[in-house]
Amino acid sequence: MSNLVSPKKPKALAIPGFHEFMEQWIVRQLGADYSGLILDAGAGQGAFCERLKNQGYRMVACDLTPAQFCVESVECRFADLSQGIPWEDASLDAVLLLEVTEHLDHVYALFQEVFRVLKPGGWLILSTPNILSFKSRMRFLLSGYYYAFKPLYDGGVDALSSHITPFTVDQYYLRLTLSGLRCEQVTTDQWQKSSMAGLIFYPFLHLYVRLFFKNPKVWQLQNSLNLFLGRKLILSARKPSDAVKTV
Amino acid sequence: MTRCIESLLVPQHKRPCAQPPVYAMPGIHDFVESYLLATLGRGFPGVILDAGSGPGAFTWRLQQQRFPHLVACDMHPELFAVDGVECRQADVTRVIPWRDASLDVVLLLEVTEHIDGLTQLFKETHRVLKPGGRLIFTTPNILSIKSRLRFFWTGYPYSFSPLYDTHPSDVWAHINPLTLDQYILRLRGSGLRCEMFTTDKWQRSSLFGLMLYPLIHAYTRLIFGPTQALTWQNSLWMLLGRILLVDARKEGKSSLRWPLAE
Repeated sequence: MSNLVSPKKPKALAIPGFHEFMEQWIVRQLGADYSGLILDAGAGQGAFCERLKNQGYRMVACDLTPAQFCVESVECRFADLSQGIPWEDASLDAVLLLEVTEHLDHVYALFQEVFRVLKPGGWLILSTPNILSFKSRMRFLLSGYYYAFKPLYDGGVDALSSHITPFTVDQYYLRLTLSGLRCEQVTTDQWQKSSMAGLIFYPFLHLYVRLFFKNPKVWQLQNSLNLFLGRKLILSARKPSDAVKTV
Repeated sequence: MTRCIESLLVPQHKRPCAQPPVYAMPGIHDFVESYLLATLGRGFPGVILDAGSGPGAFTWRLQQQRFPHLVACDMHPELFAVDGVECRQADVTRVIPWRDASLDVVLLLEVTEHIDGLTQLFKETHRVLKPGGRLIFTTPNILSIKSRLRFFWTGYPYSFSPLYDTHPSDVWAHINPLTLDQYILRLRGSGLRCEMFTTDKWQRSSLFGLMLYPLIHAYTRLIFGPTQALTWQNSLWMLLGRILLVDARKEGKSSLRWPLAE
């Protein structure tokens, strides 16, 4: 009976440990008393949105299926993120894109939209599977598929739940920069145990780059220890406070 | 719409028989040319669009092969230097400036790795193609063993490099590393069906890695089973090939005679 009376609780669909990490990380990035309006884009049922709401943040949400969103007193609008973000120019202080971009084809257009809806000085926080880990590199070598990417051949593949865009940190960095956002931080949520085994290769990665390429420094960013071992790629970027209105 | 012929930048290419500068790797154009001759036939009467033509080195080749109806489009049509062929200004990530169902073949040679939003591009292609029309595109094959080893050691697949210093106007940077199945998904989402994929030639450096072949097949079979993930994504062509060519088709019956297709 109490089940019928109590409101439905949002169910977290992310990997265990991920939401906990993101919550702490966002609190550290934005500060515990942050009063800006935060959009959880691609919120799903709203499990993460509820966490931040309980931290005292002002939240709004959007999703392709807003009907399944079930966090009380948080507005959730319908949004097809490949078409745009249904908010006005410079109306949000932060946009979260957690595990969204790997599902979309036109990431650059989405970042341009984020730039548009953010106030100057506003934040974009993004997470996606890290395909640069040792585990992912091994998987790509042996099967042609990165970590967290599966075959898409089957006619029955549901485009919404499948990962279709495998970008590494620098491909995100480029699109962020081109849309006018400034990349602030790159991190990972936790180190994969299965990637630890690859640590014996790690010195050779750097040796390889040093031997074969003219400007080894640019190549080493892609091969940093955090990305070689990490499970998720987490990026934060800001709209510069002196940004002109549109790109 | 800019007419290329009126705005040539490079006067030496005004001579009718000069080949415009070739920016593609040696061998790619030969390969696509022989593929077109084999599948379309010499003197194929349909309209062929060379999208992202650059100076038009490949358009020029087709003109030499006497394909009668050639058109081209590019971000920078002022570079285009083939006499007698129209080149329109187009940002193909937004729109292909032709009417619905007006083209028989759309070529995208070494274009898709430079741009974002391929679903939009493929949808546009679907729109401008006549029923039974074809999209033929080439892109570096990042599934070769050479490319996989390069990704293992550097985090970049074959023919991709760090983008940290890339300037916004840099049209040369490769930014979108997709594998065969990610292309096929986008084609399917736009209404095009992949008819055929192949590669131009075998990389010698990938041949060295062929000893990994049993391991690759055993591992892929173990985690994905005997599906297309095994037979397509890890086929010998994909493991050894340098440039991937995909031939996709819009549904419907073409009014033209296609030597190999019908």
